[in-house]
Amino acid sequence: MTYATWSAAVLSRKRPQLKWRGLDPLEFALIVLCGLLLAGFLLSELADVAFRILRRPWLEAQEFSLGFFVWGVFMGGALGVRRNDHFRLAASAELFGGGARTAIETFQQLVMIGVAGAMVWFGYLNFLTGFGSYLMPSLTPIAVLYAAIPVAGALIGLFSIEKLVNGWRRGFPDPEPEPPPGAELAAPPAQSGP
Amino acid sequence: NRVFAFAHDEPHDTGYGFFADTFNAKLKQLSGGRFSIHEFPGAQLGQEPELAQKVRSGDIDFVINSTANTSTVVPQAGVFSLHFIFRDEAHLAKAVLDPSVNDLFREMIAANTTGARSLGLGTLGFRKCYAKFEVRNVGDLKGRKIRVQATKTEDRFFSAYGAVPIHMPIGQVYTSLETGLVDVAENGADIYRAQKHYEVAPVLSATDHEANNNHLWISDKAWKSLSPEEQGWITATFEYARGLTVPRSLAYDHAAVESLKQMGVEFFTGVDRQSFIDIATPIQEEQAQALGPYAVRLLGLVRKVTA
Amino acid sequence: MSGNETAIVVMCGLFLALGYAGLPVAFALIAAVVVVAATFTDLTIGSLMGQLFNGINELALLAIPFFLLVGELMTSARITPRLIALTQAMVGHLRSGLAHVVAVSCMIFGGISGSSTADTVAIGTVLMPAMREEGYAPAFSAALIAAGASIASMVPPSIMAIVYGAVGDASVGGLFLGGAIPGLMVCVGLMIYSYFFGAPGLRKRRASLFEFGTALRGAVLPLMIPVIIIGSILGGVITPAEAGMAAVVYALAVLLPIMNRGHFRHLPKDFAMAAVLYAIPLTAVAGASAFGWMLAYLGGADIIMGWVQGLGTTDARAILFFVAILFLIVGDFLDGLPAIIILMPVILSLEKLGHVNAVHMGVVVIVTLAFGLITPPCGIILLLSSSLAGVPFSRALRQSLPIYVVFVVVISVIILLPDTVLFLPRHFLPRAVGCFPRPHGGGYICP
Ligand code: NA
Ligand code: NA
Repeated sequence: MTYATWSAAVLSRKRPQLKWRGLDPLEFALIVLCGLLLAGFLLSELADVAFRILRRPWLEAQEFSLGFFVWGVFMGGALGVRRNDHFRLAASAELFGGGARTAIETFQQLVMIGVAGAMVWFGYLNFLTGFGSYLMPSLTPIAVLYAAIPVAGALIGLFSIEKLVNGWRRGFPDPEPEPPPGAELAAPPAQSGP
Repeated sequence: NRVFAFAHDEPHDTGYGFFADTFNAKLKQLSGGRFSIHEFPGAQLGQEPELAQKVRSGDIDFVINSTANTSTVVPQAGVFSLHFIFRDEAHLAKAVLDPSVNDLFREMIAANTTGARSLGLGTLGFRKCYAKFEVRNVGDLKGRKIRVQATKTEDRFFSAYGAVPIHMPIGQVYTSLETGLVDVAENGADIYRAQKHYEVAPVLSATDHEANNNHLWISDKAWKSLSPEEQGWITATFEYARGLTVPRSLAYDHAAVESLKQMGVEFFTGVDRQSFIDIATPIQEEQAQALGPYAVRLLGLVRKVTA
Repeated sequence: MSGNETAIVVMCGLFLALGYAGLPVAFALIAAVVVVAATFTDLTIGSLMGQLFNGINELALLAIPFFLLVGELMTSARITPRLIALTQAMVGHLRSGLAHVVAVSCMIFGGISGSSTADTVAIGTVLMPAMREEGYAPAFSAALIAAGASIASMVPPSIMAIVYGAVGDASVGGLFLGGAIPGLMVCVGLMIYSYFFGAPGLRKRRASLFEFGTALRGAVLPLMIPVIIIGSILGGVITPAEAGMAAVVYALAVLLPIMNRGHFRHLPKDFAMAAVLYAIPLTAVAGASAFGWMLAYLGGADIIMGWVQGLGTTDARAILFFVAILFLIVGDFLDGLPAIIILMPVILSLEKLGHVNAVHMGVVVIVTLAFGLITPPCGIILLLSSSLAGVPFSRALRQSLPIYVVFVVVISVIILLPDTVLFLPRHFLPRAVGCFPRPHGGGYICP
């Protein structure tokens, strides 16, 4: 199968008016990365158990599992921003039209850009301190895990800028009603509570 | 009036809580009521490795860390986890209170990390092996799966005894002992009791193979904000509180063993420690060298302390 | 108010304001923490960012990706319809048969998946059109499916239970087992409700033994998944993460080759979609733990102890009712997982005060929060099912009101009769609920 068929199958179709087609390959690459991280996570957990049963424990297994897991969470969390998957308490902007709508959505994206900026800069400072702290038993600097935070921040900032700019150019309201029920079965609108 | 944040990950009714209370009272007294601490016990502000991070960033003023967890920041601190470097409890107590050991430890911390410094060492007593059977000598560990702290040092020593070291979080140890996923675990008597591991591994053997030592961090941010006189209050408070806490902690440890015996735990004291020491002694040297020059010097100083 | 109390109030207010301005929960939490830390404290924001990492650096949370992956595989490989066919053969002939099928299917799928969202989508997309054809009002279907899907958060495996266990230091296995009977009670309650108030539907004849056998044969392999999950946790050697992994391995090595070999080429997509799914709740967990850390740092624990002592009771039942009401209110305004993390110090203080069993407390909280998934304003599952049904949220909400009775009754029963929660764990995981072995001879003593 080609990139076209795969990407058609996995890219999010929510709020297309707020997206640059040019960033679609980035979303696709992140999806692939997240899938690989999950596969790596599964394999390292499996190997941990298998080697323990064989009485040849793989003593660094838990560090590998944790690494795949943590990077998966932060990369997936950034991806969720572009896919509009993150759980919200209220869809307040949708209650309004016209200028109020633009104002609320602009405010949301500005706060998101602020949070993303904090994740990049302060996450970077935290990353630097991570060179003075080590994972046991391998003594790998914990910075390799902390790095996920500024990277996620950069992606979140990019996707929020994307929304802001396109919202101003094309308007925030969705052009047509929601896709028909079941159009995105494999990826239900996610939530933070189960 | 200044209130310092003081954090650790043990409940308040332990040696750490006693230390915090003593420290607070003395600090108030020396400072004429200007300084005090707010204790955050029970990992309210995080587990030990996280606390070590936060004292270095200056977000918490004082943190108690085990030397084992300190090795996530300064790997050479792992020297205090080398096996059988303390001959007995008297030697252990004397070594952690020894001025030259403490000076070198503080120097090692200062030279190998940023953002925080150590005020000095303390101890909770020895770690012991426990299982469904007695560990009479090193032969009893041969081929046994043993849960150890996740460090290379532990892996090295227990492998040398012929055991199979396994890493797992403390919360998983109970069922693993129950089902035979591990045969042996090792820890201080208080943890053995608090985690109820005696239910599934009712024989506690006094291997006393290594000590649960700790030290008190103070953040550079807090330290540098103090005048030399105020810094003097802090160090004097530490010395005072530690002097009371070390014997108190060892007494807690003995009381834990006694209460375990009351509950029907078999406490086996006839361990042939020499059979372990014969194997461990050459590895002490090798591991200290692997850790670094401070570890080598600290090992030498500890050995020289006479009880 | 002391400076710290002001800071706490500002932080909570800012979070709610941003949340209701439509910001994703995870980022509203982070924004509130950063702003308050910068204005009220001299904390370094860098180490607060590190707290995002610390929040997800918890062993039990590692189970979540696996349980979501299993649910994704079931739906995407079209194995869910086989489970539904079995429930059709079991209860499809009753009055309002399809409604019963919904309740029982939700229960069974809930035993495979840890997420009520996954349950809603899996059951809703298959059964919603069928219900419409048989004359059920779409709003009724939406309400019923949402209520049924909340069961997935109660019965094992449950992401809420995993997070609760990770943060509250309660046994995840104990919480899993403890939630099973309450989940079953909700299922039965929904069936009773449907029997009396559902559309009659098409009356079907009772399935013959042969038809039942065929349906059972089609469903027996996926039905092994709950058996594997629960069995491996009861077996004790296995952590929730390893149990989830075992279920994934079973699905990949046994289920797919036998039931849908052609699906293997779609696996990359399933992995990618599951990876996207699991990151969402865990991002909120990360944000909530930074928020929770700030609360602790600002002395929240002491303030809470003050309130708790002000309650003036140490009666376990009174305290549990208080907790249920607290979480009903909080669950209305906040999402379940952040609510658990942020309020855990309150829960633990109350638990100590009333000498409540940790698993009992946990299950009451989890069932209450699962109920919150279908109450306004942020009844996320009801929102999802009404959009699947194509009806306005308000209509689905009106249809849900009578169903709330079921939840209120179940929550009251599990508070008043602790055995409904503790019976299973006492028998199968005695240590998880504080029982200890008899000093001499077999068996356990349970306080
Ligand atoms: Na479930
Ligand atoms: Na709600």
